[in-house]
Amino acid sequence: MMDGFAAAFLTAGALLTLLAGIGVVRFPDVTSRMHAAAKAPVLGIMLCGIGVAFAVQTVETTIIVALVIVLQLITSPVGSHLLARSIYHQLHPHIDGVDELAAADEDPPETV
Amino acid sequence: MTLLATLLATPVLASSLTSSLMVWPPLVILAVAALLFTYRLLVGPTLPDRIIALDGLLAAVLAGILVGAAISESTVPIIAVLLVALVGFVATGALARYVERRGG
Repeated sequence: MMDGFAAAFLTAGALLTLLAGIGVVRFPDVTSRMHAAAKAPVLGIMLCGIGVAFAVQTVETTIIVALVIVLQLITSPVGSHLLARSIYHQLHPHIDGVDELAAADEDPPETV
Repeated sequence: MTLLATLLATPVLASSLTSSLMVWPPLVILAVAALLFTYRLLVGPTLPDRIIALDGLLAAVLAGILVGAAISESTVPIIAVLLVALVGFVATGALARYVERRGG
């Protein structure tokens, strides 16, 4: 029974990662590709971790899986935000013609 | 079906064999996802595309390590996943700084 739960969660997580892969391959634009690759793998790793917690069923495994989920939720938006900022400042996609960081550009970022 | 019933009737073999049969779909799906990320990594027209593909490839590898931990039912690979999840965004941040300085 628990193996069934584990396999279902692992398959769902793998499917979300596959969804991110399809989005990264098929989306037409850098920022939309980043939109696909920034959100779906986090949920995929979360579901895979829950599947591992169902499969192994020890206390330390559950604690480490919870830590993995929290760390993914904290660190993944940070990396994606840095990448989006650099894409904006260097490539200037301007998809919909709106310069949303124009006010921020009056105080340009320090380049080391 | 009768094979599955006989396997479920023997308790020691049942858990390992059924689990090893049930973990094939996530592994195959993760392999396909890694191939898609690798395609974008090799083809991607701009440098941020390749960084995005590397990030997604890392996520696919992490999910694969988690599936492996579920197969072997051990805690040790999950610690590796914890460490990579802890420091994985540093690579993306450093590459983003590189793009910001160098240009796409």
